[in-house]
Amino acid sequence: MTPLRNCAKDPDVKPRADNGPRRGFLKTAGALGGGLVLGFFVPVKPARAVTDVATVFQPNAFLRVGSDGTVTVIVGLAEMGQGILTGIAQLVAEELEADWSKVRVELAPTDPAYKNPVFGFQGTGGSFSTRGHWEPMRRAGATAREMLISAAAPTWKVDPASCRAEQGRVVHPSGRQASYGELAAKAATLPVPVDARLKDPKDFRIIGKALKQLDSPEKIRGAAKFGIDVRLPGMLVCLVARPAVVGSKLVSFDAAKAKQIPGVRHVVPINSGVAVVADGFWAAKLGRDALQVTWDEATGAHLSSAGIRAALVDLTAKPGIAARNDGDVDSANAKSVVEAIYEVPYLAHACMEPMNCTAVLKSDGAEVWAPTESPGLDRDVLAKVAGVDPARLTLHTTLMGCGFGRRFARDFSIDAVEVAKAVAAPVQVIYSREDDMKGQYYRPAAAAMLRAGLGDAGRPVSLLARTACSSILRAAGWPLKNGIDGVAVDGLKEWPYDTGNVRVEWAPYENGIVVWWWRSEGPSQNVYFAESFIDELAYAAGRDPFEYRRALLTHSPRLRGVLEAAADKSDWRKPLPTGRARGIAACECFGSFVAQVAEVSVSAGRPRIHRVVCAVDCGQIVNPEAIKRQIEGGVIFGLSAALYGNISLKDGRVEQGNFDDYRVLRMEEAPPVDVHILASSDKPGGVGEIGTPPTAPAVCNAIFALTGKRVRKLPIAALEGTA
Amino acid sequence: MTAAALLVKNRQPTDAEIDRAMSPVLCRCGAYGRIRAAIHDAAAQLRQGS
Repeated sequence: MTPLRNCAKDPDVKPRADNGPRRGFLKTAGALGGGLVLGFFVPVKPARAVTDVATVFQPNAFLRVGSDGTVTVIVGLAEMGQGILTGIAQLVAEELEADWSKVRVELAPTDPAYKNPVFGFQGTGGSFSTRGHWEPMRRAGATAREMLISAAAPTWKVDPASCRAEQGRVVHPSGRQASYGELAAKAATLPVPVDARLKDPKDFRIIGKALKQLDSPEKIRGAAKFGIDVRLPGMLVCLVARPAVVGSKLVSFDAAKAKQIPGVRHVVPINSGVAVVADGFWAAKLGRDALQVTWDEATGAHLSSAGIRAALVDLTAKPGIAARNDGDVDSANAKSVVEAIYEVPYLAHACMEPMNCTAVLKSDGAEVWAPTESPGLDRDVLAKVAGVDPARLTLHTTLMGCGFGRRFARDFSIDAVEVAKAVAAPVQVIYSREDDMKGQYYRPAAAAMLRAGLGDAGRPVSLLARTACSSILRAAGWPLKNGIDGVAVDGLKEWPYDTGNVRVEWAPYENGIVVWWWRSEGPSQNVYFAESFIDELAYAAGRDPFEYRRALLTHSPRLRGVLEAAADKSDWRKPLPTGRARGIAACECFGSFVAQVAEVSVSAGRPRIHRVVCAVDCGQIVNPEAIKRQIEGGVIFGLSAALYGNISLKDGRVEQGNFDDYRVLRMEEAPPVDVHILASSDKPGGVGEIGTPPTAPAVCNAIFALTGKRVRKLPIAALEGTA
Repeated sequence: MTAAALLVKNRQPTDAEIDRAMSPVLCRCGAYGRIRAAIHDAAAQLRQGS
């Protein structure tokens, strides 16, 4: 396949000189080298002259049809292993009636044309990629299809309505036909229709198919270029000494010993710390090790996990800010009250590819290669750091080895641009594993108090749920709505069970530690709280945890549907051998519905997960295998966090640094994950994150069923007394 | 490479043998089940080829 053009092979590619007005919706189609270029037309000059038909090069469009019939789909989303390149290509190819064997994908440049319609900038997160692009990408394909038909019909002197497109060709009942490659040049000269018809889903032949990932062959061969693979002539490598104690500021540094290390070229202070710039990674690392730095260590040195936990739990005893208030929880007539407090720690993303970014400043602008999830927000910030007009900063989004939300931050890209400017050379900034893991951007630690009043037959008549945690939106500099961070209560606010009186509150807590989006965001902790608590209520009511939930889901048929499917597929009612038990959990999140049953045993205080059954209703299906992979991965990700995940602090210092003390699941611990996707005609929901939230509560509920011990604090392995 | 080293020594590894060999290899995608299946596939192909 065509190599993914995520990194310019030619480092001399000039930043675009003319960025002019940057958007316009389907105003025109540009003819280039005989090909049809279609999409959100952006009047910019291509980065290099187009002289060769076979390498038609025009960014800022969603698809390109070459004169050889190749269809290139240009994807403005971050590919971090979730398979979105293929998913988007399926949307375009379906409506285009493309020959799938001729479909290629390419990573888009940074341009407002590629903004996600849901959140209004070019970025990948919140499981919004398929949701946001489901219709626009299909429409881009349909528009091109109509133009290709319009190119063919007049030459045959027939009505376009009598022609149809199939498998990369336009055909007429008379037997005449022409390939897209033959028609591309003519199609490019035609007006762009504004109302191209979308296909009836019953006619889909590419959407819904388990097609293989288009980028897999390159990745298997090791040919795909990730951010950390970027190499520029004369490129230096930089590590940054950053403060170990949260919130510390640089007081002074002595570079003498660092500069004695062979290969170390520069030692420069930057905003985040002290940059050591060398010929390669190892020299930079040795240089940084030798660097002597004094930090003020003033503000955060008192922080410890015990103190943070106590502060969060204290906050759950006081009224917070109401995010939901149905009825009146205080006046509900309860026969008994159940109350529980749950706690979760900070978590690191632990991406396999460490944070990195490569930057070079030139006389007429800047060029940056970043494995970033938010290029649409990065560019203006990086341009300001570089001191150039944003139009003169070219930002390449590279392939990335994991993201999980960590790459939505721009600490690493700001460092790269700052250092490249300071040393006037191409620079690749790399955070070592330890730099990244100790460098904050954590899933918030949180505590939650849930109190329910139970009425007849143990049914809940009231719920007060109060969660205390730091604000991700605040950390990102985004506004809070009515004083509420929606992420902090996401997954709790949606309490789906028939209860009558529901009040959900958020108690803000800030201590200087930067919290961040982490795969599955608010639901990563809130679904653990809610689904553990509903389980506690079921036992308080003397009911089966599955039946109890199901009876209370009269207002959410889709959630009830996945709950029933998970119970069914896991043989919920059939007894297990002695020493094993099942736990169940379900939630609505990211526009999808998911339920899981975990089968668990406990030996010498250590839980072992034997099987996870997952039922998913994510609306219409684009690629069932991609969905299964995401759910499987999300479950394993959730198990790692539930069993081991813990970023702890002592005297303001993060105690973990690598996979030896921040454990993730290993092969022998990973259970089979059976994924069952329910048929649905609803709009597609997200799938990248939904596998994670139900996993911890399903496992903890199974542990309770087996041992009678309720796990109210994660990670599980840190708990004592689990027999 | 770890899997290739295993298959050089063992053309018909069990799940447990694969798990033992692959235990030091961390996967953050959570693709362990698929990796195990791929090793079985590769082993079968090697057996047929030899």
